[in-house]
Amino acid sequence: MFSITPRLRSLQLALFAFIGILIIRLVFLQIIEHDFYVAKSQSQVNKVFMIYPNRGEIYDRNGTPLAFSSPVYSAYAIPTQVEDKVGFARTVSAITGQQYETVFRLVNNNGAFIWIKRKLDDRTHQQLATLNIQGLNFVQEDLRVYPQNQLLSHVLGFVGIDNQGLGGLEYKFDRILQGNPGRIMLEGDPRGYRLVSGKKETRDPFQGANITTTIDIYLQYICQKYLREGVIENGGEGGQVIIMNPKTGDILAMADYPEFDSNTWRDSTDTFRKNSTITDVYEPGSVFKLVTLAGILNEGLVTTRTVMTVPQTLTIGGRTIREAHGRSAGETDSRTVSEIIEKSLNVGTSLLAMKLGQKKFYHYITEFGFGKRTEVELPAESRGILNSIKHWTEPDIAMISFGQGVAVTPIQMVSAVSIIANHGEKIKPRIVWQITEKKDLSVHAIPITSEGQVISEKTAREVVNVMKETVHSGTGVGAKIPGYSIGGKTGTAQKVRQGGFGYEPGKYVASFIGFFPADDPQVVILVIVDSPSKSIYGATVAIPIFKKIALATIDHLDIYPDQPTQNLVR
Amino acid sequence: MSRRRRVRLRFYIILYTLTAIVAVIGLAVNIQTIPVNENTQKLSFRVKAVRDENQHLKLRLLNTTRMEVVDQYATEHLGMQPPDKILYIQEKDKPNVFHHTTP
Repeated sequence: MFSITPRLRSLQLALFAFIGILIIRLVFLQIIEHDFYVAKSQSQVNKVFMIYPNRGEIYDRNGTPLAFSSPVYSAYAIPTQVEDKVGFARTVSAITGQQYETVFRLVNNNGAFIWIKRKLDDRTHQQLATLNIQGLNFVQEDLRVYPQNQLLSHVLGFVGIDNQGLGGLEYKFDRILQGNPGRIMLEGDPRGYRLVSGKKETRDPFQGANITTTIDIYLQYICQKYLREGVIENGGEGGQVIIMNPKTGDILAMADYPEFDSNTWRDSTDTFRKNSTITDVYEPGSVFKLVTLAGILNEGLVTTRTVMTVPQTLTIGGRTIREAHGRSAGETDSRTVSEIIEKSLNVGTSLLAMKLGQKKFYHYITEFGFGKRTEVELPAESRGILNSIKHWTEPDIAMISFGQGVAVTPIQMVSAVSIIANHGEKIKPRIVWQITEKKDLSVHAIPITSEGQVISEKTAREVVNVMKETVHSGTGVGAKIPGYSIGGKTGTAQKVRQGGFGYEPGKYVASFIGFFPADDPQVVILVIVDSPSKSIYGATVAIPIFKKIALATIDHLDIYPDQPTQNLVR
Repeated sequence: MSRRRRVRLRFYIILYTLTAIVAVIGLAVNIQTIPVNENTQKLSFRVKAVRDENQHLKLRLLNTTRMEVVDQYATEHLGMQPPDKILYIQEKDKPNVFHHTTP
């Protein structure tokens, strides 16, 4: 009879316990933690190689490239392969211009990969490649290039080291421009070799699409050139110019000074890189009187020939409003509505707004697009500052009527005046014309978008006539161009303190907005000069810039005269 | 040798012969495609090189024709000037201006 000794029984129990533990562990690994270990195993076996697509290009409306990618080489090192680290650092730093210590620190370790310098210029790459330095390798990357340098940089924006959009159109349309990377997935061993029995999956990259803007690069150049000259000449701190086609909403030029170069954007500060035409607000001053006029004419409360008594001062809610210019001796207080705007009378405009009433005035302000974004295809657009009507105090209606106590962006102002120029119909501004897929060359066009009739055609015509008179014999007389009817309005406003209440003493924003030919406008041009020191008025600071730009625009766009020029032949 | 075994032997001979023929043809085709593949690869490299070269040339071209350079050349070398005013011809000057033109 076979008997189990206690020793054997203990061994048997120990074996059972061991097998039991193994089974529990297997259940844990195979069932409970199954997904985790499958994923871990796959990540070790699957080798993924990304195929990066080419970033899309950006063009002006005539097909001039404004941003595109050019192949360049980047240098990287495999520190474990670098035997003579001192020699490596000495040679590489001498060619790349980096500091010896920096290069030495990069390679003086046992890492598997380290960037030495990315996006080398051709000469540096050639010099390094010829030397065939041990442990130094190259990989091709795309360098984003802006061939027009500082031209349109505020609109185009810029990209980071990995070509990710960081500003302007590059940021707004980053996903469209960038496309989607493709990939090759192989099953390989831990050394990186492909397994003979392994699978291979390929997904082609989706190339980034090209963007065609509405910008005309010649007009953009002209605007930036004359704005730069004008700001410097007037001792200003900055300025903006926008040219817009009121019928299509196309932004033909969008200039902002000071400028920066998208190729070397790291050399400039945020203040220089922001697009002030959409991000910054300013008090529009007298230009805003056009909104007041349009509102009251549209309501039929007055006509342009209605005569009103306009005193020199007006006290409302304890606040006294005065005219900017005194009156000559013997001048009466009677003014037509047209004259109030032509001569830019603050008191007269206040009376018009009060006649219109708070609710209706507020209605027209918002209908003209103030207090909300225009939704132009650019990032970081501001809504401007327009207090809700619930928070308006008694003097607010008067102040806002002539452009104080309200802050607008330049794009809002151009968009609003374009309504008047476009017979009362509001067209959404657009800066992107079309997006073209590289794969099949299919074109996604951005349509011209009407946002409805804000004022009647008749009202728009009357406001245009007042604006024509402003240029013919009012404050905008300096903008006259023989043979062309021009509608315009000057603006001179105190500069609001940054981030606070009140005004900066002695600082003004001078502006002029005009369009031509007045009865069938092809372009609306807004010129703003920030804090000019030699003169402060829109008429003396902004109009000369407007006139230069207008003449170049007439020449470039072949805009024909619309005025009979007596005894003159073109 | 029984009839059944003879048939089986014949079947295997034919099968092996066909397999050998297919293998030889496959090898021949493969050998012929090697230079074609090499050429394709070379051409792919050349296409890429040409594309890169094209982008570099495009960049150089755009650098020489950018607005600032054109403007500078026009004003400094060709003596051109920006359109700073529009000149209309007076009626009285018309004969002087147009005297060179044929009616």
